[in-house]
Amino acid sequence: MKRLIIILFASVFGLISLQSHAQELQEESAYEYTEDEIRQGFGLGLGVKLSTFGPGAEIIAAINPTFQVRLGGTYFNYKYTHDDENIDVNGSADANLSSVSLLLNFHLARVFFLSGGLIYNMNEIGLNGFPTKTITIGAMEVQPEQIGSLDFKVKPGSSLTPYAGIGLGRSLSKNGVVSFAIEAGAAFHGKPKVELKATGMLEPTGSEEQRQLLEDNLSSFNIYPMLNFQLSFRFL
Amino acid sequence: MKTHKILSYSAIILLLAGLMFSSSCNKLKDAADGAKLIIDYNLIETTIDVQFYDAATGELIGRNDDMSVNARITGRDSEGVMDVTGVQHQSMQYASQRGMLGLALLPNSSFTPSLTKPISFNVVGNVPGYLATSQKVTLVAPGRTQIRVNMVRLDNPPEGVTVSRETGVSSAIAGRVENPATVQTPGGRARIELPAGIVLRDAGGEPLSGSLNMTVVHFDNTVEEALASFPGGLMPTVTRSDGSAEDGMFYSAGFVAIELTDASGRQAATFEDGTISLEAIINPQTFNPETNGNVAAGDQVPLWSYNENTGEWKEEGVANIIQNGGELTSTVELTHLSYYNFDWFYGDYCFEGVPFVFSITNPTCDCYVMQGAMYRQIDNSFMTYVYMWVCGDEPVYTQYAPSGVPVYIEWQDDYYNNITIAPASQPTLIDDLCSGTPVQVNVVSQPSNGITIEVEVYCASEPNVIIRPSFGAWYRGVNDWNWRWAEMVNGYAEICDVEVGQTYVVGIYYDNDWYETEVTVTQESYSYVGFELPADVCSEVFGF
Repeated sequence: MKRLIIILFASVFGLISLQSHAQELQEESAYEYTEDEIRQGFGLGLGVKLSTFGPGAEIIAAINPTFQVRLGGTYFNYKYTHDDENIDVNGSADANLSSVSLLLNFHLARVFFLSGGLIYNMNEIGLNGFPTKTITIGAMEVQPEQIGSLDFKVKPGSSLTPYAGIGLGRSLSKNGVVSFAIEAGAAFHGKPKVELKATGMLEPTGSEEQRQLLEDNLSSFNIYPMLNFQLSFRFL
Repeated sequence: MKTHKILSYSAIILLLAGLMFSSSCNKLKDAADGAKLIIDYNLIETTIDVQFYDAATGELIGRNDDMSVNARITGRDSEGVMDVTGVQHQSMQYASQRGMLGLALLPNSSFTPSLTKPISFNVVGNVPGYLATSQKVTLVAPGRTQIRVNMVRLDNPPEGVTVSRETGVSSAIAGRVENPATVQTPGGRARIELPAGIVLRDAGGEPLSGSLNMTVVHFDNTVEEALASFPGGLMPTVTRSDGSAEDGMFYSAGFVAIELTDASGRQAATFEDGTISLEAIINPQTFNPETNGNVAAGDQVPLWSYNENTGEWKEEGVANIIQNGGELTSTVELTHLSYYNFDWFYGDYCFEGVPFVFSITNPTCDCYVMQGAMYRQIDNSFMTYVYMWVCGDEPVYTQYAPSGVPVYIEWQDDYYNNITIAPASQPTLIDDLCSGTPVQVNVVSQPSNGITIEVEVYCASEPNVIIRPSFGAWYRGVNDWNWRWAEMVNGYAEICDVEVGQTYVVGIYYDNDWYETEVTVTQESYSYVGFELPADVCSEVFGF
């Protein structure tokens, strides 16, 4: 965990350093927007992003320099299959991160903004395990299919999750073409839903009591953290 | 100033992000707290619950945990027998606990019983102070089977069994008997004459030496208690003189068990340079199936030897019945020492007999055992004990039933489950157990309540792995001695007529050991029982 935080710090500070050289920031010196600036604030752009919901893209509409509406989507799927005949138990881990978001940015300052909205959260993490070899219990040979398999899935408690965050930078450049923003926030997806299925001799492991226990254990994990790095291009 | 602002904002963002990630990871780490790997130990399809009873007292042998019956599995399909946990001992010897033994057949193997491939084996019981005995088990379908083995305690035999135990009847040097000896049971029911000069050897060919002790036990075939404790039972598989094996039923004229040992406990099995004479009184009330009447002088009866160590019967010839004073007697010259049986033998069986349909006045909360004893109609002679596991209206098929023999069954009331037999069905007459005509038995029962008992076993080294057994569990009131059986599936057993507030002892047989615990029923519908398995069992059976 410490390593993850260090990497995040290093990455973010590195990007901040780059951003500090960006033209947009160099031009900004006053907090109050002029009427001309406000008039120029209307715009439309496209952004690409890398977030804890996966990589994705956004359409950004700037109402004025203070408010921006963002409609985006992300998708990421990773499947790891452990398939080794020399191991007694094989399995797979499947992480599916995907979302559709509709957010509103409010710039408190030129480069500092608050963001909020709704995310349709389709995240799902699954684990599957199954034996590969016949095992011997006493004098009995038990086939893998008799032993059965175990499937575990976690989904957000609510698919439609409110989101709030704070960010640095701009999702859509005020005057130029390219802009960059980083953003941290939280999607409040409620108590995660757990699916637990087991077959064969393991079937009782997938009981409702066990499923409920796991769900209770995960109940405090009701916030999904958002960290978003976004590069945007204004074309209107 | 601008740089300072940027750094401040960045710090806030990163602090927030870091806290969220850190918090989330901690929660994930605890996600599996309390979760267990629960295993349904439901591999076994066929179980055989064996109960060893003292023939005189009717009590389970070792019910106080003071002795254990050594049960050896022999016979054609003995290799398919294991104990109910799945452990198969190389020696094929298992130990009863509290008089009970849980056996099973290897699942998914060639030992799955069917009508086309019945599984047959013997349970041979030995315990110090009792006469060795055996019971043949024949199975034609998977499921649950219960058998009862009555054993004769030599210093307290049941009615109809007479015992003579004499020490120092003679002596032997290098196997050769020095002085002749005669031993007879009380009333002279059986008499053994041991001549001088005969050479005695044990089964391994070693000569007996020193002081000789002899035990002679006679079973009167006209007394039900004696017949019910007949070593080897009355429906055996025998080896004919030509070596062929045959299933059948004994019409008994008496049984004599002989044990001759030296001071070191070596038991005589064979002898040379002479024969040992056995004279037995034949009860004149004995039914001769060849004449369809009582036995008479001049009749002949086949003689069978019984190997008490393997449970095997062998045809030995024919004995003549003569009038000897006021008694009918038969005298035979023995060429080897074992148990001997004067019996007519008829063999005709069907593997699946008539279906029994139990009509009950009030449904019970769970399946229940109907127990009884089967008798031949023609001579009222005890044949075998009957155990039927009744579940609702499902018919119960008799297995390995004698064909064409009119019988009747006297049922035993089950007071614990408030089940009694309707007078019209007591006894239940059956003309032919192989006819296919359903037999209806009317049962009177009181409304009953049941509770669910959840049974889990676990190993201390792997507390998060729970095993839910699927075999029989036993329970009894804490002040009661009669165990009641409950079928357990995936760790759950439905048991009837237990009282809230009462304490019960719940036990399971597991790998030659007995585990029991007391449970006070505190709820009307549910109780939990957990058994911790010893480390050696965890290691041997589950590899923990």
